[in-house]
Amino acid sequence: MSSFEMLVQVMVSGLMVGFIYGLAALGFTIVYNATQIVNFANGEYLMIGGMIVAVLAQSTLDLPIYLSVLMAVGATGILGYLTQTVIIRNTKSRDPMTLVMLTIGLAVAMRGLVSFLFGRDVKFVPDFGVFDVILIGNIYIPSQAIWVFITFIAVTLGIWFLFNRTLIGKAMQAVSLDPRAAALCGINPGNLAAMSFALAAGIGALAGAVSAPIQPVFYENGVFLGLKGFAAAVAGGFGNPAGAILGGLIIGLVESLAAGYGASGYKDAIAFVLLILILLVRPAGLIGKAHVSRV
Amino acid sequence: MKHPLEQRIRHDRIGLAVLALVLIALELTISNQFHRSVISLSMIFAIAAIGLGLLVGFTGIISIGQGAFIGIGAYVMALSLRDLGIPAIAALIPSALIPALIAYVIGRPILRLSGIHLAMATLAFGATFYIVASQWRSLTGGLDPGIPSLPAFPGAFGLSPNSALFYLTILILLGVTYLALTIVHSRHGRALMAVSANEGVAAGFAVDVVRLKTSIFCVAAAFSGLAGGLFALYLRSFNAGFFGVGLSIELLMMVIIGSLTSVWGAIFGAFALTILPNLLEDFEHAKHLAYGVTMVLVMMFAPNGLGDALFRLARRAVVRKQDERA
Repeated sequence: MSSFEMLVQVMVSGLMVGFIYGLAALGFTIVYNATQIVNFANGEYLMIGGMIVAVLAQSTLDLPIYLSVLMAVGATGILGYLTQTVIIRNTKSRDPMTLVMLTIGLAVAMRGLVSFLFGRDVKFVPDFGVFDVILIGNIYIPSQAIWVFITFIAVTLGIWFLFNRTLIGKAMQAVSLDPRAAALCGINPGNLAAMSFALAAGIGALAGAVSAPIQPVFYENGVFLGLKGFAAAVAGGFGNPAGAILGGLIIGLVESLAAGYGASGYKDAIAFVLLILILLVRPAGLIGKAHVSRV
Repeated sequence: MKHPLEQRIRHDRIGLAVLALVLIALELTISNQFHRSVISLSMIFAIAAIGLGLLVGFTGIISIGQGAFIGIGAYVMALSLRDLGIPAIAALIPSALIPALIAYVIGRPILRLSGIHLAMATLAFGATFYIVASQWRSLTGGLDPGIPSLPAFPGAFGLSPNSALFYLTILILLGVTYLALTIVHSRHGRALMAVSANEGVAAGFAVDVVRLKTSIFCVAAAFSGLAGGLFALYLRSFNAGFFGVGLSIELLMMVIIGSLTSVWGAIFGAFALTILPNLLEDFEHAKHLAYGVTMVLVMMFAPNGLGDALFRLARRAVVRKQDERA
């Protein structure tokens, strides 16, 4: 394998995980825009999505894969909806620090629930199939990577359509710009907050489900996935959906390059150190102006 | 009528005396090895939780990376004993100072961040420490074998090694509690609460916000480091798996279960969270679920901490009874 091919190969796997991190970052962004809450439980949605698919795949139900993915997305979306309507809506305090600790508690509870229900072993999910492995020269593109790519494109287009072409999306934009003015225009911020949680959870579950065949499912995965999603969201300028997606690609590429050419054991640490550095040096994100208008 | 601060200081002195008596009584009466080790671990976690309580409760800094400082303290202790041959008591000093120094180096820049970003940065720091500790095998032994069999703690003053270590832990817990109470009651403590309430206003009253936050961050790290050093002395063999994100969250739980407004709450929380899982059989696999649900409920209904809310309820009941009598 030539050094160029090696580089391309490393970048292919970097993009593949980058798509996942981008989707995780999107969840942070959507919830933050609608509610000003940074949801520390966001990574758990990916873990739960993957876990549901894994459990269904191991069960005797023999469901077609699209059905299990659909169930994972639906169940996790409902969970996200309930998180907002049952828990956050009934929380007395609006103090951001209290809400941060609340969402940390949610993350711990979800992790605990999953390990209680489904056990603490690592679960493997077979490839979704349909596509063949692509070989270009010596560069290997696994078939699941194509699924990840399709999901990524579909979600990105869907989100673009939602925010730019539908009334709900425009209402979400309005709330993120000025919640009070939006309320005066007859938008119910509470409903939108619940919907944003459901949407973030659904997108997270979808990302978790399609990446399950690549990264085996484990109940503790949510912590690292959440941190990397957050790193991506920060890199893209927090609150900016397009930035979140780009940020995910950047984090994925950097991580993959570091693992490919440096110490693979420290791969995860690189994303975290990068997060701390970005927070310190460019807290408004790597891309765009210092003041990023939220889309 | 005395000044309320004087009254509080007097109550805290009585509290310290009671705590000392109770702990010494425990050491003298409990002979069951397992019960002793649970009490010892509770004290060790209390030392770290007091530091985190100062951060979260009094300064409004959420640190989800405190487990890393416990880890650093534990590795400093282990390496001092194993490679440098420093006696255990002396090694407690670098176990506290090196984490404090590292806290200063990373704290000085990251404490400029606002609350949520700071919480994420500490989480990233904690996760990074865990990865480094499990990967840098030549130094830490990683996850397996980790640090195997450190030399036993020596006995002193005619005490068995076990009792000597127990008394040492009591002494350090009392010292740390005293120090934390002194900080809280000092003008620095009032400055901390001002920072927690409103940074801008505090700065307006000539509080050097960054410096104050950095020093408390270092103090909390030093307490965690001490806890880590004692942890290494107790267990004598451990691996990087102890110092993951889970440990940091457990410490945060102790503070939340206790109180965000008092040093005593952290001690209560540490004992509650160390003893309860050991009392309940089969609790281990539901532990995280119970922790998470408790944390959510506490934040929903008693954001100053569970112990705090219970204490207030009890006091209100007492006051009402006195009123009825009067």
